[in-house]
Amino acid sequence: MPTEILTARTVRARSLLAARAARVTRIRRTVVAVAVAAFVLFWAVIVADGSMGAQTTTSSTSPLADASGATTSGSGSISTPSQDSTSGGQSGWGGSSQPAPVQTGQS
Amino acid sequence: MLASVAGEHFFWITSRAAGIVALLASSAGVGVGLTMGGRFVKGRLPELRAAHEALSLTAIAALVLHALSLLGDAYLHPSLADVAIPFASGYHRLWTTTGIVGGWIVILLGLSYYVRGRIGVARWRVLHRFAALGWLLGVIHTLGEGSDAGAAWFLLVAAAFVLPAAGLLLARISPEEEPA
Repeated sequence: MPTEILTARTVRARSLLAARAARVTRIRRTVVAVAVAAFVLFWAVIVADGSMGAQTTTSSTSPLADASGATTSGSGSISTPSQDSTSGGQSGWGGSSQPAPVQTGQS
Repeated sequence: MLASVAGEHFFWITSRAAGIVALLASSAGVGVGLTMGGRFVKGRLPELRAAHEALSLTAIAALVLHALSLLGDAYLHPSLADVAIPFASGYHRLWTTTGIVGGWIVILLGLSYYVRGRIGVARWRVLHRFAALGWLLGVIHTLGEGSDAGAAWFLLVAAAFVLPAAGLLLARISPEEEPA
């Protein structure tokens, strides 16, 4: 009789452990699948966004233009080499191969 | 279009996407790890541990991809030292160094789990707490240097993962109130 009880408990313990192992395996697979899907999604979003980097632009008025009393048609901009399509380096995916390293524009 | 993208920016985009996955996975991993020490996980510890481990390994894999894919970028053209050694790169030196240091902390302290028997479990637990510091440095690196840090979609996604983990971390490190 004790042997039967022990066997029943063992069987139950084994089934619980098997169920837990299955849950753990499912969790691992889900994490990997979600990560791969997220990677593909972000890849696509970055492509769709079209930007090759955050724009770092400072606006200033030319001191030379101020000193001479000349008017400026716009503000100058200085872009850092941050792979930026919005600073004129490239437009979307049809532009030049890579953005210009440093662009300084005073107009 | 894909061929054009692949030819011109493949490695750059791959690095950015991998960096985002690393940030999200590490944030989720830190969040789950901090939850494991809480009071509301009774009976769920094995599942949480599996999730924490899977998220951590995913974050490490994404981190490695984030760094190594930069080596193929024709614009930055960094060396292995530039992406692996602090202060070696001249490109956004401080932010890059923050990311490199944070990455190494996450990788080394994450993988130390598998040699905790040699380190000593108690000592390893103390060390493992500093993995959160590596994650924090990663967040700072992302916000300071990340190409997508100014994009609304990225900030929304990052906030959804980073803020809960940061809240749990704050709750963990803040001193407990003494009962009156």
